[in-house]
Amino acid sequence: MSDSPIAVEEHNPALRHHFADMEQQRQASSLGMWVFLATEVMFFGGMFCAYLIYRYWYYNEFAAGSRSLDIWLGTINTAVLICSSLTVALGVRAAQMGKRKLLVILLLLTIVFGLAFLGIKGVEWYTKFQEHHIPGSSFNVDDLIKEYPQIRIDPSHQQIFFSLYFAMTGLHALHMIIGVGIFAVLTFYAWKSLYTPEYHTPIELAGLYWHFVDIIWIYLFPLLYLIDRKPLK
Amino acid sequence: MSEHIVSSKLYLGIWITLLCLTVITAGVAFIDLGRLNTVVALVIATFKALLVVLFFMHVK
Repeated sequence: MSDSPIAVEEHNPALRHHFADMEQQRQASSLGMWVFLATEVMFFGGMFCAYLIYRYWYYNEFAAGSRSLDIWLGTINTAVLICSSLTVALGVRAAQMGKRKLLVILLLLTIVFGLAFLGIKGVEWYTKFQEHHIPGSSFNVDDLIKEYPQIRIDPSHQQIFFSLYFAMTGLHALHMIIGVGIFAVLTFYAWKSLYTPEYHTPIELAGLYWHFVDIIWIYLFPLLYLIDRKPLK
Repeated sequence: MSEHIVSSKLYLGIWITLLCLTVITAGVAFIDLGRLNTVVALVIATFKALLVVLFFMHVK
């Protein structure tokens, strides 16, 4: 038996008995991940749809709210996420080539970038908290009304912008937190030499998830931060 | 879907392109293009998303 290639594959401890070979197992896992990401598109899609409708209805308030966000921190955070996507992509490559140490380093870097993103996001949220821009009983946008006399601002409509801002960035941040947790576990297993060039599907799938979360932010950034930055007349 | 190892140079190229596009989209937002501001922002975002899907997520 041992001279046939199939028999050799059967000995891979990572191969579950209900799969014919490693390749089939990998493709089944990958398909599952893509199906999950499709459901995620629908999950976020509802919010993007709500955003679209309210932006069309209350454009003034969306413009003023967007101007009140810190474009520098938003841009830096976008760059941070892009860097984390690079470390993930290189991490998958390191796993494919069986470079354990490099893989661990790249996964740790990804976690650092992920935490940096969350930290910057936290600073932004805290600023909004201090400005009373968090929807609720202490919500107040007199500062925006004073700052932009050219724009007619209805506080209740302004509250909808910030509700969407916190819901969308919050849901995105939750995905980031889960992603960091996943990579923490994967880093531990990578360090324990669980992943080989023949078996590193978890790294690959976590990578797909991370890139997807990156893409969500690639859209959130212009939709929230760049609505109306041109000079006011 | 079969596995192939992509050169790290390609990943670095995509990374630089994504960073440049991020700076461009933030900069263009300050120029008054009228209704085109939103269009430009979304076109750049979609191009960035495509780069991520095609190269980082190995769809290509």
